[in-house]
Amino acid sequence: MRTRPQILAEIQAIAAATLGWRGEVSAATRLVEDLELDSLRALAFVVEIENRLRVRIQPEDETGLATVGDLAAVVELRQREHDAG
Amino acid sequence: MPAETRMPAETRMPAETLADLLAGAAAAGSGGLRFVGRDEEATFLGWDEVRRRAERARSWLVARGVRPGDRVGTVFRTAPGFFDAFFGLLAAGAVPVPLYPPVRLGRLGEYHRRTAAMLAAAGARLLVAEPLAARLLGEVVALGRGALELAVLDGLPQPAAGSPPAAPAADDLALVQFSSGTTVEPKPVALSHRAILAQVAALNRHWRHVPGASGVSWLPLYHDMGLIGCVFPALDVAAELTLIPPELFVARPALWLRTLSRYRGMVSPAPNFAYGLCLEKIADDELEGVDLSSWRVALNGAETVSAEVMRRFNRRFAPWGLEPRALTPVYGLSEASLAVTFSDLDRPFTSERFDAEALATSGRALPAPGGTELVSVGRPLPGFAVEIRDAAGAALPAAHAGRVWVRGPSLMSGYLGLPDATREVLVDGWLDTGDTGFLYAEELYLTGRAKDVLILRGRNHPPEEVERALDGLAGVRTGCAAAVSYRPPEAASDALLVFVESRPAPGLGPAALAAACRRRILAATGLAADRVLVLAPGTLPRTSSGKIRRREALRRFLDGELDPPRRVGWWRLLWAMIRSRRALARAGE
Repeated sequence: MRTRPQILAEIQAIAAATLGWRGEVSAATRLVEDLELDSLRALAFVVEIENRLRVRIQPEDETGLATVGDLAAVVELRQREHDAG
Repeated sequence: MPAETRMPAETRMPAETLADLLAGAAAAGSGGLRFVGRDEEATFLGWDEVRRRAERARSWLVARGVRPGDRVGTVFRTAPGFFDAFFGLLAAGAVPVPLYPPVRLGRLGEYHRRTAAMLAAAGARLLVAEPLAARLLGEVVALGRGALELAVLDGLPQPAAGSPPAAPAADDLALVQFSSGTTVEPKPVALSHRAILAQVAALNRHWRHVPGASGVSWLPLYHDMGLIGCVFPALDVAAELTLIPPELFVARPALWLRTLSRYRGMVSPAPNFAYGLCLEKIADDELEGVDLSSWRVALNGAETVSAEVMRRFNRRFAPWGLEPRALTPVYGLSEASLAVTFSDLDRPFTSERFDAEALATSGRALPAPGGTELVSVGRPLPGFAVEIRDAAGAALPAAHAGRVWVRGPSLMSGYLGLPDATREVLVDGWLDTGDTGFLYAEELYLTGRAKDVLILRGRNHPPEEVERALDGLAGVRTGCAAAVSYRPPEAASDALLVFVESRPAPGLGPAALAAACRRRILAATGLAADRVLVLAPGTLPRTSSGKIRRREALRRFLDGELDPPRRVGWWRLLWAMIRSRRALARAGE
């Protein structure tokens, strides 16, 4: 099970590999505004997070997701469920 | 694909409906659907199993009040559930209206509004969805104001006693698909069984001579190219089709090529951007053991085809056995069920260079070395015809650009419930495609759209959607924005360019304003503007009634004529940027 900093590091790696993002990624990085997630990039990004971190982000998780920190929190929650289940 | 897997002619009734096709494929005992998952594991359903499942879904749907002729929205990802609902509805004599599943990471408001508008336009009172999607569809039902009900299809329903399957006629409505880009006013394209079967027959006749292999598709099933172009042709000849969920392709494009190799895929279509995405994303080590030599028909359609992307794709993947003749530019539109023209399958794609000035000013297509390179999308499929007409509707000779009109056996019956819109485009058996182009050496070359529409990644978007997003933004004159899409030289895909006229806003320079516009557009529409160009008030060309002329703005921009007036300060800086296209290319980033 990954810790929050490990999850953030993974998200940074996925942003680099999938989005070609060269900058720093922190918990405060905004998904739409900073990572410039249009619908196609958002899809690629979230699916790759699910694939690599072996989690399923649920529809209700996505409401109100604004930053990388929000996303990491959801991954942590779902990972815990996954491991428990 | 295999004429030899068809049932012998004497035991087979001629198929008149999609249900007949499924019955024929189930009886043939060959082929089916393979679903690839995220670890590349696959599950296979033979066509007979697809039919049995549909029968169970039918009784469930009938028990929910579905009656022949009802239009029913479906929201499913690429999984067996899509086909349970789809063929279940057909077996009940109802009309499926496949819609796309909710977007990921936000912008759900826009999704809800769009989906509700599409359902209303199709006259659907019921929406059938998979459980995961259904959790996000409550708002769509609420927007339906009591006229819409949601039914969740969770797994395969128990068989229930009920009425016998309905038997629709060839000219009955088979399915409703949306004219791509109908986000502001969704236009539901009504297709009869006869039209769809004619399209399927034309496609299979065209590639059938290629000795047997299967199809592979990552295209969404709510898209004509995915459903009518991949699923139905496989069904028609009881062949195998391997399906990859679109989101898995987008995240890892190598999965497409690996799947083609693993299952010896012969036919696999995609829009131009997908070929570009493969060039951008796939690393050699993802292609270990991959052999693309079975891929004979790599259709490229649904958006402007780029010669450069195809050349690079051929070079990049030749070492993995890709045949240069595989890439096949095609042209079609949802109003024609799908395809209208195909390039020759036995030779590499054709492109020609034409004098850009002559094309822009007189509409003449004059070959010119060093001119604009355009890709041929081929000749009409058997039974189809293409005519180029001027604005008044008179036929134009070869090598003259005009409006592209098409005729053929798979044209839509019309836009559902929109007789005026139908009359505008369907005239004496001909369809006005809204595209512009010309015939050269008997092949069709496309030059653009007659109507203002943004074509980005294979989807059409009304420019108003982008422009409206900027209303009320500090520094932007309300109603004074113009969005256009175009293909920059050497680029792999079309770019979104937005012109905005500014008004004084304290402390807001053009770069900051452009950045604010980009953010606003992205948040409202999910589209990333490649460039935002800030202009002085009154710069954009307008009609006599004051409407902004988008294509004229684009022409002036491309000709370097769209200059803001010289003023003090940052206007001068901006002017200098406009003079330098390269600087401009990064404006607003």
